[in-house]
Amino acid sequence: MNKLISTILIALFLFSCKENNKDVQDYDRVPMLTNIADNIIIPNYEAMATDLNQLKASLDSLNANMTQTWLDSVKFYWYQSYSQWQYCKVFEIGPASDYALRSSMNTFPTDTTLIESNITSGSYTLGSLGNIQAIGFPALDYLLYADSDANILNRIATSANFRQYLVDVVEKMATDVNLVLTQWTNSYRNSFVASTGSASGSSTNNLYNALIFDLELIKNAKYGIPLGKDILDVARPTYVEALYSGISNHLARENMTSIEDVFLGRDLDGNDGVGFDDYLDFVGAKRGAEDLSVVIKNQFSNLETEMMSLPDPLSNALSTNYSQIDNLYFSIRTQVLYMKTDMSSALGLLIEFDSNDGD
Amino acid sequence: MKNSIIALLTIGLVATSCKKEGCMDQNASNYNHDAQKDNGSCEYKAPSSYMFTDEAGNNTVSFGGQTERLNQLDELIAYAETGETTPISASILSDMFANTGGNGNGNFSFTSTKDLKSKCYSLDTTTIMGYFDSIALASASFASQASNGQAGILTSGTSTYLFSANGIQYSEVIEKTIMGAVFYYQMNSVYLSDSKMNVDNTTAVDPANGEYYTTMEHHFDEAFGYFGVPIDFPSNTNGIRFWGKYCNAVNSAINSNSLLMQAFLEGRYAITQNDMNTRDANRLIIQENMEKLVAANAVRYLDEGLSYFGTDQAKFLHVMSEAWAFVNIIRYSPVNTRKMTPTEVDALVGQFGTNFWNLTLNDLNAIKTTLTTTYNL
Repeated sequence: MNKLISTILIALFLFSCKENNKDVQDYDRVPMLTNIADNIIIPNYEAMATDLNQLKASLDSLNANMTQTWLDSVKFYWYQSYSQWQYCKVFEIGPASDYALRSSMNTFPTDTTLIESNITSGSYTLGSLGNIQAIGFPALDYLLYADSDANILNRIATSANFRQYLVDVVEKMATDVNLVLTQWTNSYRNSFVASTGSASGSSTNNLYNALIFDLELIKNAKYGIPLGKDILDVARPTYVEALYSGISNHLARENMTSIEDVFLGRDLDGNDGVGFDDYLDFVGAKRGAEDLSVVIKNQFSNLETEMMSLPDPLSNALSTNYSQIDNLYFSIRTQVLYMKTDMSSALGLLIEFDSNDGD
Repeated sequence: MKNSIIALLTIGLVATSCKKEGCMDQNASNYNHDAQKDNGSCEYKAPSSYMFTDEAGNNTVSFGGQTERLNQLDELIAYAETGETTPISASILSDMFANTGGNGNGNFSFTSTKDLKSKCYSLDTTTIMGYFDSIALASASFASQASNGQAGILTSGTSTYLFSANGIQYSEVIEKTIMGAVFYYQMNSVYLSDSKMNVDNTTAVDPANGEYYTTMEHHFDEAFGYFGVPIDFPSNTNGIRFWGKYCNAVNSAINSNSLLMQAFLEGRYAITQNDMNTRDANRLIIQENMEKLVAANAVRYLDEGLSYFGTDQAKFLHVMSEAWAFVNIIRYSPVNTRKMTPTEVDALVGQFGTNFWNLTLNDLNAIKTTLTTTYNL
């Protein structure tokens, strides 16, 4: 009888020794939010503001001097800022969402007819909804790359409206970014960090939603739509991001790195701080036998390899390397599965944007 | 103590062995009325008509939206065919296509919240609107006799056809293109696709409002709704229309009626049983055989064209319009099962040229050979 009881007790004991996953609610989210706000979000907006100021300064010099050197300089800072934008676009929460920053900075494909008619008339409100496809980086991509340097310099020399449009587009971008940055540093940072829960409307849930939405944007906007995934794989080469400069894949890679940064809590110098991966490890999230955080990290590394091997420009590669891009699309989809389905259930977070397209 | 345990066990064993074993689930096809112990032998078979219920017996089948769209195309085509006797308006056709104002801007005999245009394969909505312009233009010549370069009417027996100046019967082209770009596309490339199939199958959508189906069941029903057949097809062929009609038209050649209906029944039944492997096998059968059905209809019309060539110009141009439109539909096939890419479809469609008066028997035979080879017809 005693033996039986002791066996039962041992069994019970063994049972309770089985890996005891901690509850989601026990996790202190303050260090993660603080790290992401102070070491990732705000520094990225600061870098964005600096880059746009440099773009503005070089554009002023170009308009004053009208030389190839200054055109090169404008193109350089445009490239720099557009790359930096990929590190900011994921944070479409709070102030950025109030100003619809993502749409005004980077709606593509750009409407070249509208841009030209704006330039011709010289009268426009760039902040109006109707001009959303005539502003931001895609408009500059068209204005700076659709023609030869010689023709662009000639246009700068001969068209005051053209010069003004470039200035207005860049100034709007700089103004918008500064507004968002100021709000972050003035007050939003503190309320962001102070919202420590994980329910709907909390900073963690908002940030998580923004992260997944942006990952899906890479899948859909940067690759899915050009691949024609919604139209039975009939490619749309003119729908790529940065059509005229041809830096689509570069921008997509930067965007993916930015999502990885937030996931890892990695700052601009590459230091790995507290991020969603630590959160997943805390609750002991698994996919099969493996840690979910490791599965996601490995997939980021697979994605990087795949993205590095894509030929540029994407608009041409769609006809020469369709299946390679198609494979990348499905690899991103796999990462969406890990980060959207597995992660949301492991962390008890709610996906709040709707990807259903109706009856 | 020991003895009483043994006694109890013995009684238990005896009692168990006395019970008659068999399938005890009344829903199973081998339900055994006399069975007292379920031995796990129950077998389930799909019903013979498209009727499915949840465990409480509530109907879970709903495809009213699809039926409404079929009704809309019926009336749209009926209007388009009046172009044989009177000039018609492209904007009325557009209103019916978009279901302006919920009643086709007054041109439908019913009201509906659904429409064809928003469900159309997006690249081809403007193409279809272009066909509306073409038929309106042709109908302006309804009083003329059609000839190469002249729009108008040709008759054969009791049949009257309106052709454009290049010999295209746009009422058929419009009907088939919408059947393809809306019904066929939605059925095969939307509702039966992974993204519409890999969805919830555990929760009823809205039981309080009579929506007892899961999202997955509903998506499958929406695919079925575009088939255009009665729920007890093919034993009953009354009321078949659109795809149901063209399925029946090639049934003798490719056995499409029972093949497709059985796949719809078994696929839907598998969903109620949460058996995803069977569901997937059956949706594959549907996707592959719907594409084959399209090709078989194109071949059927090409064969008719070969017989009318040089003997009945009206019938010839009529069946060429049908064949052309059916070949064109292949482009809406799902990426994972399609036997021709849209580029290959473009090439084959291109072999018809742009003026059907100029088609030769060589053209027809070349197109037919490509189809019979590709689809093993």
